[in-house]
Amino acid sequence: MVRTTDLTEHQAQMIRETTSLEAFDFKPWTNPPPRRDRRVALVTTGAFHRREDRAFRFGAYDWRAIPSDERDIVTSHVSLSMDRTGFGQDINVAFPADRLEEAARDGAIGSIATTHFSFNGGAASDGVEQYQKGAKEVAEQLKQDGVNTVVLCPI
Amino acid sequence: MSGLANYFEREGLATVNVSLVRLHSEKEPSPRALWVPFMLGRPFGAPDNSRIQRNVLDALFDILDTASSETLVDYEGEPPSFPGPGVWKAPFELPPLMPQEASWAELLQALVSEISVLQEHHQHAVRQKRRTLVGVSGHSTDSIVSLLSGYVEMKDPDRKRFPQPGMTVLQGMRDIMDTYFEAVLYQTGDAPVAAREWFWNETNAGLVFRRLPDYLRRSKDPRSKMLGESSMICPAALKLPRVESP
Repeated sequence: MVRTTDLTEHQAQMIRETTSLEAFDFKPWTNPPPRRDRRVALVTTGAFHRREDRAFRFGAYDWRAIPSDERDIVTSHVSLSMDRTGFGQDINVAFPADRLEEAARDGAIGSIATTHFSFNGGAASDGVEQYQKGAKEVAEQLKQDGVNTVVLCPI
Repeated sequence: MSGLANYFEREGLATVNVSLVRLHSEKEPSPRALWVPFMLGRPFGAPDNSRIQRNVLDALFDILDTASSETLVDYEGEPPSFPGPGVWKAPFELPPLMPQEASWAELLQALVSEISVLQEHHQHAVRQKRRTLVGVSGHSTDSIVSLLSGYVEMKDPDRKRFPQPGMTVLQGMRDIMDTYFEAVLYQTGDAPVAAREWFWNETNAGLVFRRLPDYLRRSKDPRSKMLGESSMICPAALKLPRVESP
């Protein structure tokens, strides 16, 4: 996985249809700092959140903050096509918070964000422009935390 | 994913992303991406396998070090392997599977009996693993079964109890499925494909869920009706034959 030839015809069709989204008309580029200066945040589209947080509604474009030391993380992503038994066993298979801590300890990066963030990726089929408001809000919070590098994790 | 990457880059944040679907990353490129040959839902490879998880993370950091323009790199490591349906076996027996021609009432009763057997295994497994995904719907299993039962009796869902019945069906299905998967996989170790086959083909819960779209389509609630017609709970999404209601 995942080439379309590895999927059921139904899944492959859904993926082909999703690619009908319009391409972005801008190509921004930000150079990352050297490794020792990188402050890294995870941003997931897995609809992950703390257990006590409000679940994502279907088609929601909002976001949740996840403190970087939080490990009781659940998901309100509802797709049947996606395996979530792995995430049930170990959050690091989709949200590598422990691996990121190890990377900071052994010097592969400078430091870890105070807070990671989560979106509901299943909403994308309606148009990526809808994410812009949330992305701006999250970017602002990341910059206030001194974050300069983001690792984006799909589901 | 590429949308968020581009927005963050525009805000002055350097990004790198994992890609699970290469076609998407080709058609909607992000500044820096790593395509991985893993299952949907597992961008960092496998649970409880810190080596492969760290390898993926390091590959992402390498891209940040080297890319000077739009980049899509293929992950070079091997995908993890796990026992398939012919090898894996559920670690306990459940009550017998109902025949496909069983009535909805009989099926729901069988589901309740099955869950009562499963709960003990699930509670033990969660105590050992100290982790569970179950509970996101905010409803008990009994409550979810009661909602499903109402669809068959063509009742309008109780809006005080279920303000968003369609969403509760989706989240409730996931809670029930997670209960089954955690009960078996926390004991046997990782076997996602085999456990999925077992759930859909060898449990009464699988049988109930395969028949459910047929009932949702007849609902008076427009959103529930829409859900029954959508691919969100469509058995075809999983290559499963549809089970018609009698």
